[in-house]
Amino acid sequence: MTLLHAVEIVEWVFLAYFVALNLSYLALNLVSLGVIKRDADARASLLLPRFFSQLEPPVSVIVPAFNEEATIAGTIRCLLQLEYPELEIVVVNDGSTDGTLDVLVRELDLVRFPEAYRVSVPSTPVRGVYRSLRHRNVRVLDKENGGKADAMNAGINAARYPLFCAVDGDSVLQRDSLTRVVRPFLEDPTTIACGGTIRVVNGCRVVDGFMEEVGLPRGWVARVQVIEYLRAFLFGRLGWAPLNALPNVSGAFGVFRRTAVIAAGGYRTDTVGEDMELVLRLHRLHHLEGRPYRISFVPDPICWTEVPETLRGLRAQRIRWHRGLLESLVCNWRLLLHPRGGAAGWLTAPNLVVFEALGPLVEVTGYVVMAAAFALGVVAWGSFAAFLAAAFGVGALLSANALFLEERSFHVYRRPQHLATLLAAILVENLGYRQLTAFWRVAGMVNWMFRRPIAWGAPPADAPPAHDGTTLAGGDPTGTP
Amino acid sequence: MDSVAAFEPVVRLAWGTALVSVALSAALVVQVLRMRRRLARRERRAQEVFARWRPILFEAVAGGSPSLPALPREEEDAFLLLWIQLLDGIRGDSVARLAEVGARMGARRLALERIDGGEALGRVLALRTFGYLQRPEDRERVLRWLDDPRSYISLAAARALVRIDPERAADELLPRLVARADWPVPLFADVLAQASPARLSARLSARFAALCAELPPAPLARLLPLASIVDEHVVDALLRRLLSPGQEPEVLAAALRLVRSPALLEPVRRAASHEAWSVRVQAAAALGRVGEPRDRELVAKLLRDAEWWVRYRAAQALVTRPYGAPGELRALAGSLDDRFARDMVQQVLAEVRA
Repeated sequence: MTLLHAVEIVEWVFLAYFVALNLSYLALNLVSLGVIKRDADARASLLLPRFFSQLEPPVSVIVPAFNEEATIAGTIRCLLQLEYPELEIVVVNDGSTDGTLDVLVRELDLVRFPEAYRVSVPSTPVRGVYRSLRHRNVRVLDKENGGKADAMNAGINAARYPLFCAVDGDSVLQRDSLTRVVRPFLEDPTTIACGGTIRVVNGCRVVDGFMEEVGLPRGWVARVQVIEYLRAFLFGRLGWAPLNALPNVSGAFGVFRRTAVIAAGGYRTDTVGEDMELVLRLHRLHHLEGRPYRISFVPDPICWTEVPETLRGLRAQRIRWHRGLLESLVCNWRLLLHPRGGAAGWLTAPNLVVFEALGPLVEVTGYVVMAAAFALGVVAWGSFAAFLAAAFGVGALLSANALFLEERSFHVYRRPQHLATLLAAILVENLGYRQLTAFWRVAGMVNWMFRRPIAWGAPPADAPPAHDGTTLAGGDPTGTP
Repeated sequence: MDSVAAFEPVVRLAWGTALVSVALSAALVVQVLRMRRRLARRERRAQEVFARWRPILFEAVAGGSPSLPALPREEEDAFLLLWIQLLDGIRGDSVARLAEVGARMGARRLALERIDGGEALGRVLALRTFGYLQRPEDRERVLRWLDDPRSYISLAAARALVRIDPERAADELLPRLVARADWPVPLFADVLAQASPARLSARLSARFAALCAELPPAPLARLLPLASIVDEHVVDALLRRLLSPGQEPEVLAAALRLVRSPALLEPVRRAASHEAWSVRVQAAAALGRVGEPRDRELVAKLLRDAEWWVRYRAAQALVTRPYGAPGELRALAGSLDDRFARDMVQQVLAEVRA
């Protein structure tokens, strides 16, 4: 076989992969278009005021905190303003080494509380439970450091209500975020988890913990992530949800049925993508045990989160996310193509393995092979340029479609300059950014293979807390006892 | 170069893909721009309508007789939206006054034009308008949308039916609630509460009780929370029947949550020794609400239950009136040899202090 033939075969392989990948995105886009249309119609009825009948299930909001003395008080103040008939807030101080607990004691007027703490899922020892004298629905758990997943498990143990809401300390919410994300639990009693669309908070004006005015970040690294988030949520998640095959409910803000999570064993503490791992495990256990369930998604932008502004921070985040993805897949490999795996086993899991986990490797290999072949004179400039143009064109199309879905549904970025900036971000994304993140994701694979330690609460500078596993190229049956 | 010819089909395909993708992207951007222009126009118009009509409608709510300007066709949707939003937010006599303003502005004609149109928002506005105008002749028209598969349409129809004729609406709505798992019970409770905000009428309540008598356990347990807005006498009779021995645990638990009358104490006491903890926990809570001093021993026994929630509700029950003051519970804690029970008593005493 000549070198020419070898390069030709490699080109066809890459082309086949490229076509399959984009067909899967196309399918997700088509499903999303239908869902967005239905959802826009449904939201028409929500333009009218909503009421609470006091029959809504109460919710425990769990806030894991590690060294967050600067922000934790604001976070709690924001959560206390959520519009919901009955909720409690459980803050879990995960062995902070700064003054997080002192701030909580001072701001919330905490007193030690002799809670008969029960262990439904394992966690590191709880040193003490505190109760707020100022807000009767706020408790604080002070525990030994064990990581975010471990803190969530402690919070689940202390939660009193049938639904719990996992929320990152730095998440910016809307007053009706909880109302919106709980709705699927009311509409379908088999719902065990529900997430919503996460948006980028950088550049927005936030007052008292709530979104006041939507804006765009100043730097291009964060701006491109706005497009990425649109893609990941508006057709990534939205496309999977109707199939009951959602790959993840973001740790930044998601609601779960407590009994379902306890039955599944709680969060795993040995992965960096604990939110995605939990969702895949819930799929696996429910499918394999033949239990009816639904994991839902509301397209409404209910939570805003900080994204890295620098390449260094972004690199650390993408390495962590990719490692989390691989760990989640390995932990739940039995879901993959299992005869009783349903859509999650036959569509989501293969998609995650072939396109999300291995995608960066194929992409990087493609760049390297093409560049090498071009350098060796085996491939002409025209061929090389054609492949780059195709990759650029399809990437731009997917992002433009995400922008279209956003305009059709929520129209969050309203100013003309917002649109111009986002269009420019699409160009930047496909001319360097995407290639760069592909390299970092390959580094994430290496990191996973060699099990290099990644600590929570001590991420590299500028990296936000882990909140999303996907890197799309883009109870109690009767209520509270 | 030789290689170019060899890869010709692949290269052509790649160029084709690139060109088609870029063309489609450009088309999407153009579409986005058009949507933006349309939306901006619509929002501007809505703001103008709101600014003009809000003071007029507020005047009507306050009991005045405002003069009503003409309503151009392009402002009709915004007017209806504002009118319904205000109606949703008020209670009492002012509802009738504001509804009258809508009637004078031809709201019924607007609703008739929109009910069979293609737009979802138009249909929801039409259904809500029929509800607030309360004209019996519109009942059949609304009824047609009650079985719409989209819950936001069917619930808008349900809301309108309750306003037009609450008694007859019950006959239509309650059986459908069983079949429509997508009708959230809390939302449905809100729909029914329009008929009588405090508790449902005797007829509605009787209808609810009769329906419950026919239901299998799972849908019955789902519907039972609605009993909290049902006439008290009807609900007690219903609960007495549901709390009979041999009932499914999920129904027993749902029924126990609703117990508010000491007349139901006997079945509650029986439930305290049920094998399912989901039943025992509700029995403990019910004993806290309606128990008598002689039930103290029974509740104290539940305090030593293996399940955390049963112990918690039992401890909460023990600090309520029939069983004595927190001081007595503190004394009880000292005598307990069960560590879990003692811990729970300490927790609940701390909660009481807080």
